[in-house]
Amino acid sequence: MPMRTGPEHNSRLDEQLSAWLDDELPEVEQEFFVARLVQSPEGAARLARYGLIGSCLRDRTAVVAGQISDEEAALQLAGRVRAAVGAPGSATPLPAPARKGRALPYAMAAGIALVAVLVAVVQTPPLRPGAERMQASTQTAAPASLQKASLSTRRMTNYLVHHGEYSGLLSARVTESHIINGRPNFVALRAADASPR
Amino acid sequence: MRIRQRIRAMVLIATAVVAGPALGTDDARGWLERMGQALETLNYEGTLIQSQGADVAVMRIVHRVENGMPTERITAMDDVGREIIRQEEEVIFILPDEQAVMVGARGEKAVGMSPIRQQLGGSRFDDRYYKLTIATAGKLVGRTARLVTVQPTDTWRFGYRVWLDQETGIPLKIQIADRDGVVVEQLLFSEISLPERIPASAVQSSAKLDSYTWQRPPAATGPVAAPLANQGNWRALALPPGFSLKAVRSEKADKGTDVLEQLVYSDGVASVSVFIESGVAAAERGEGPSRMGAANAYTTDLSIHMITAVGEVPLDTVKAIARSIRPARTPGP
Repeated sequence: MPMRTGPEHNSRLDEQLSAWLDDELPEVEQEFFVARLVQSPEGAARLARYGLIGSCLRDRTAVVAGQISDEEAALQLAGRVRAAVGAPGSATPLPAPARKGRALPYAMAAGIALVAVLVAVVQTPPLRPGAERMQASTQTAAPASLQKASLSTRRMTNYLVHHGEYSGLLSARVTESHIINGRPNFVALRAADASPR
Repeated sequence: MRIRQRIRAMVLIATAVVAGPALGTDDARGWLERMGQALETLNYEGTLIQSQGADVAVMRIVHRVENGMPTERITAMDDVGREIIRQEEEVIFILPDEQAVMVGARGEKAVGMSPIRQQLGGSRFDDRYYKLTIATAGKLVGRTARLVTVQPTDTWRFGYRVWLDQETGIPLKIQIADRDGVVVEQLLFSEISLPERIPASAVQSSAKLDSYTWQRPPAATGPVAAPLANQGNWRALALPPGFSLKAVRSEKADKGTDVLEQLVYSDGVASVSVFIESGVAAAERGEGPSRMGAANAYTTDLSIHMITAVGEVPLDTVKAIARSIRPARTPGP
């Protein structure tokens, strides 16, 4: 259902958004409000522009005031957003497969083609289990050793633009969204955690 | 309308019809094929919400097909307003925050298709690495949906859950999940419409680009007759199961000395790009992982070269590939 527009309506939306982010929206209004929020461009845009920023600031104020810790503030914000938009980051196991697939067409429209592209079968030996074992802990970088160094925003944007042309059918839009949302906040880990070749 | 465009339009329409529900199949693979066709052949516009953890972004997408020719505009609905404009022969990335425009030539046969799809037609889906299931999924943004689950059989790749519009095959929501089944990133339409016609002005940027710095690609050299394995100056000594080299691309920087080489590896669903860059200052090089949502990257260096593997795959996968890259003349294991 299209949302109404106009200053009066937007003001009401802002009030509800603010109340919802502060957990002050009456429970009976929450479900309807969230449904309207994520099903309209205006609501979604306001959530991204105003809501999260405002909420971050409020959480930041609480942190500074010593009411909650950084971690608590982050968890609270993440929880509210996940609950609203559908739970990324929450433990939602993929169900077990029921039958076999056969073939999948490749890729969708994306990015850039620059120079030579040719396809052929290449005999490269596959890695065997254990040949390149990495600990799961490498997925999460230790804050003390993080530096925004090697992968500058510009360089990573350039890489993503080139990579986007070859993204798979199911991830091409994700690659594009990383590029245009202007936040390729890749953070590189320096040699501290790197084992020798 | 040019004859070539007429033919292309007829082929696309015929393909879409064949791939559509007339087949009456509940096969998950068939639905994913239909999704690929729908994304290229239908008019649609809507609002996409991307979320990764607590980070939420909103985009406006307009996809227009006229005479069988798809064009597209994707705009970030934030204060920066980056855009992607996909046209017949080029893709334009407009980056207002950098006052820059990056342009990519697509070539005559590239419209609506990535180079890999052009070359492979339809890639081989290997059920040794992915299992597919399909189920009904109720309604999403007011439309009846089917849920296709793509489950990896090992930890070298991510899984996907895709909610497809039952009427058209357009993906209404996509989730990417890690090895533990945790959703690391998702995209969903908050609203979508499928107008019969979309004006050309809807897929044109409203930004004033005269003062922007334009970065255009060097002229394409076209396909090379030599086998892919013999192209380029680099290769992977070992790869995760199912991955193989799909494309090689190289580019010289403006000054003609620095080189950026790209190797693309894929298992048919996920892909990893490896960038080998020379002329990078030692202070900028280093080794370590990076991450943004479902996209992982791993950077390492070899002599004066910086090597970065990027892809929507687990960190272990980009790390293994990046660390296995060697000069092409290096003997195999």
